[in-house]
Amino acid sequence: MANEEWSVSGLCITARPERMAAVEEMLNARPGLEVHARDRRSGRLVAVQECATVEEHRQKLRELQTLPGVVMAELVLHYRDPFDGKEPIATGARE
Amino acid sequence: MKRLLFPLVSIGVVLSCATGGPPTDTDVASAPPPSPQASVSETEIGLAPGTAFEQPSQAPIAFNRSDPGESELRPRPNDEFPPAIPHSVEDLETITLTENSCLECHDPEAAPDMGAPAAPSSHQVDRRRSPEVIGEETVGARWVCTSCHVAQTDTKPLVANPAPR
Amino acid sequence: MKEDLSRRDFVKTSVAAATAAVVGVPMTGAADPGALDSGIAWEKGVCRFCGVGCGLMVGTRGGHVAAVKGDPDNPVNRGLLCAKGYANANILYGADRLHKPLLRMKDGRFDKKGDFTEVSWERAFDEMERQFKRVHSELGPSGVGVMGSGQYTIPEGYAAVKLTKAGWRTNNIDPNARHCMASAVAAFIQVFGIDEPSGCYDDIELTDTIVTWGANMAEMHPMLWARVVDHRLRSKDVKVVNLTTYSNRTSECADTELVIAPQTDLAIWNYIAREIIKSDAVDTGFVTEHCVLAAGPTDIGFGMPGSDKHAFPAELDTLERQRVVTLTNDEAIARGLDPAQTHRVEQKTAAGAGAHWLISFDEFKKALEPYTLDFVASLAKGDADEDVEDFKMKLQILADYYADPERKVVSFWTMGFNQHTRGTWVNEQAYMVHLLTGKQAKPGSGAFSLTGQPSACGTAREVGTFAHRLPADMVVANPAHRARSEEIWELPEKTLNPKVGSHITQMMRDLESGALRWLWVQVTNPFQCTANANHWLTAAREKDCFIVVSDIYPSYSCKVADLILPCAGHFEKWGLYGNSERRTQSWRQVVDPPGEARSDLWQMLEFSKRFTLAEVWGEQQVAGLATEGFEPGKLPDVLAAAEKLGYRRDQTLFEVLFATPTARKFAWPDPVGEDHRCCTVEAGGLDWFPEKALFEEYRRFGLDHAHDLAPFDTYYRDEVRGLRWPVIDGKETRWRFNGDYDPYVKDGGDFDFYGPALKSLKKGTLSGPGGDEPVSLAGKAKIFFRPYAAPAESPDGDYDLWLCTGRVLEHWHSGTMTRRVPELNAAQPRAQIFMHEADAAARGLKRNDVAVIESRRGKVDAVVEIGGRNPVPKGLVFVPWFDEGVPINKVTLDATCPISKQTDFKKCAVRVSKV
Repeated sequence: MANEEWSVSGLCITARPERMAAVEEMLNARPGLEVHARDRRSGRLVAVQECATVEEHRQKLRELQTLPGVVMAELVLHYRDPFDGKEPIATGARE
Repeated sequence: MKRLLFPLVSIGVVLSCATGGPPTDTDVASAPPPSPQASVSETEIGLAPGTAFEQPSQAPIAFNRSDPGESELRPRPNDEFPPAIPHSVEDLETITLTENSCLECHDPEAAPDMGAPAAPSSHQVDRRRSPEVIGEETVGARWVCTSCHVAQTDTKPLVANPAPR
Repeated sequence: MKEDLSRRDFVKTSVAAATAAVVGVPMTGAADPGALDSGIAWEKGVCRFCGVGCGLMVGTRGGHVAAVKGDPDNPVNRGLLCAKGYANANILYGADRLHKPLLRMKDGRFDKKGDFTEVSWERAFDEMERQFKRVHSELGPSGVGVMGSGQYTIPEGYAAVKLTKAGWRTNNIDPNARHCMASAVAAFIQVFGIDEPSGCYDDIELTDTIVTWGANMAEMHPMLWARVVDHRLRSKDVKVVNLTTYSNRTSECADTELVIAPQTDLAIWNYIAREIIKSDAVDTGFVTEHCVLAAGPTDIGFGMPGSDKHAFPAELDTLERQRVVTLTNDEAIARGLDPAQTHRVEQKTAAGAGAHWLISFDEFKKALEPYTLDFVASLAKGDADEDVEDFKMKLQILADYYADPERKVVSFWTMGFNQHTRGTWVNEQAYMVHLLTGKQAKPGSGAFSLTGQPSACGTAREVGTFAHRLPADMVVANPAHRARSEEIWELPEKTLNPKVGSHITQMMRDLESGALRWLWVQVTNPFQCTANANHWLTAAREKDCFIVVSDIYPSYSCKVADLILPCAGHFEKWGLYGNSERRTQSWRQVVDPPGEARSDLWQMLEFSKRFTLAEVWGEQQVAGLATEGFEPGKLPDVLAAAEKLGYRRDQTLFEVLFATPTARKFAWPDPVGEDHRCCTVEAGGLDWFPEKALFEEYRRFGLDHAHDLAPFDTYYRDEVRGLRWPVIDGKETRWRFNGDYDPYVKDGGDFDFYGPALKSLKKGTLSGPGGDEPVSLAGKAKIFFRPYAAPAESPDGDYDLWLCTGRVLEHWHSGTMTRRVPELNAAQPRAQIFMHEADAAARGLKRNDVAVIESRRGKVDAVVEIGGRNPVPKGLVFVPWFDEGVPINKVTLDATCPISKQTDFKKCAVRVSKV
């Protein structure tokens, strides 16, 4: 697995509040995409998307923008990790 | 005259905390409405017993003597609260422009070998300049660990604080 | 859980958490999908504690504040908080929150010797009113007073000023901010003619040099310090210098540390100014165009009582220095006098300490001449173990930083300067050096006074909750300012009292002398935080006086109160604060106060219903009132004039001052409060929104007077994270007086120090003003020469150590809130006495022993700490004041800066021994 090209983007997707549940279900059904948090008041969902290339991230983001119930999809963070298979460590923040 | 037992008598609260386990949310929420003429003396209120004219007795502080790795993290009051430092920092607490004894163990690079919890990736995000990037190193704004993470002596609460979670 | 996370999951979780943090979506229990929906609702708020003014996200669930976190969108702190900041939720939930009013009673009646007994609000106000009217009828408006706070919200402070000054016609309202910022204010007014800093926090990222003077930012302003350290770590060319009387955490991330002897900052500034002139580093163009040179009297005493009447016998020798000072050798040298001779100087100008006049540049240069490197180094070196040559080298480095025309410099200071018997002077000296070098009011350069309290600027100073002030930098002694205030407040002419009231320390002295007999303490803990406290504690309990303390917890002051009123906490009410960089920020009420606790604002509104105009606006005796246009010793009857304005004699102050027709137009419910409650409205049964009405009325004072604030609703907009005033056309101002940034600078000007106060001076020499007509100084800043002066009290054979007091990171002020948070309490359970190992050993003490610290005024016990976060030099001890179990202000000296009336909590003489 070492040196595999792998990256994660952190996305903020704003949904119409009344359609949040449906949008979340739709998002979770997409390959490599996971919703991690949501704020019902603002209609915002935080998700991560796994991709191999930057272009792939861009493409997927464009697709999200067109989904029904989605108001906006933004790229907030992009993280590239030379995956070395090392065992994980505690995050500290969530102990 | 009837004495007010709760929530005014801080000493009583400490005792109940020491003997009766941690207080719960309901302690605050359901504090019984005291009777109309409940009263309390000035010696029983506040964080130091006695009147303002008395010298409260002093005792040595029970410093935390445990080495890193010896003790468990204490539960936090809520998920946003930075974890307190569970070990002694008396001989360790050096944070200068060139040296950071906390990060010697808690930097994500060093932590696995040291068996220490690593600073989370949020600590490598420069929220002022590039909030979208997780960088390589702990950012300068988080360099002084002790601004947020405080050491703990072995001290009981002065009054219970059943903060709702 | 942690072992199960694969590296990928770990990264994804981290990215999700970081993303959530950036966009402000709650994320708890990140790796546990079931816990993702925390049910916490988040909205913006402001930290309750220091003057940095960090932005918070306040999280509520189930009617409680469940957590707070840093607001990533707030430019002050970009999502970070200090240990105290994270406790903003927990400070509301200490088990001994006050739920009901408590009145000292015996046998069903108020009794000063009685126990605290739960009473209704009605009963509480009845007694407050009865006592007020008894005192008021005997002593007039001067017999009553309010001690306020730099932690008042803006509407609270404004209501307090209006109630006291316009309603009760007393100027006896003064905030704890007197102890914190008064010297900074006095210097701003004297130098610039207008209060508050020219620069802003953006200076940190723009500068090359940060010099901290008597400001342990690492502990007292941690999130601002985080910005300093961040900036410094990015570039080795950035330099940080810390001047302090003891080594501290700020020293740890400084390039250069100067441990200086107490009070010698005065001499160091003059050395720097002398070097700047000697090395031709004066920015002549800037100084000629925008500055004048000034000096003032030096025989001004130390703000101590002029009489010995209430003094303890041991206090007499220190008090004598209020009348006559024998100059020390160093003082004589510093003033160009022969040190071999005795110079006894009568302190004749104590009452006119703030007077000043213009001097020539030659006079200015001559005055600086004694401040040579050798002289200043020998005077100022604070660590006996440091080689004087090393110390000289550091002084030279410091002077070079200021003198280098290529180097931008920010000087930060806090209580080391402000709490100083020459606090106004030393503030002015900072401007002296920055103005001489043209390093003021420019991005990355400026002398920057940091505030201690969250709204010392926004409320205490801008609203003017001081004995001498009115809103927007106006003062009661100025007839034009009174007239403008009377116009906005719709008061009859001469309602406002022109006689300056008692400052907060003087109010304590008045309690002792019997001149003040009714006192309302709001949002502060004065019996713990006022120096020389034994006098005041005794006065509170023994004198015929009535003391009301409003607080959220039973504070130390409550112990000596007669009536305790339970208050709403921070997020239990609506509010706005103004921080050190002129940034006004807001929060909404997100939870309800517990029990019968009520907002301070409701308490004032409700109590104001107890007064009719006939009771307070008739003729009033004011001893010592001597103002043109007023009969000596009297405030006129303004009732007839009030009737002409349409008021009735039987109308209450509530109707006349607060529930005015204009105020009632701010209807509640209000769209800005959608989904939110307002405890002031609910408890008062109102159909209008007092917090907003008061803010909007207050705003009128500052509009077009260089204090422009935005409308109330603007601060509550989702995308707004506070705005730095003056706010003109919706735009904030980052650098005042600078033509590139400040719309108030006259068209085309590069700099304009347009502050209007004290801008007409006579010409003179160092020894005094001449007889000529005053010269107008419009648009100019003043460069003051101020000499070195010895402190009010110094160590001697009997009391052989310096005592310095201050705060710690983990506790806010007197600890009333933070000591009730178990994590913060366990971090700093007790105030220790920090000593040098050799000083401890000489007294048979070692770490964790119990020692007694004793001054001429009192003594307390504390546990000894050696080294730790504050390695003090030989000859000095440091004791924090957060701990009511170590009430160190029984020991401190109540000497003040004679100009600002701010107490010097940093210097007095003590002895320490083993218990």
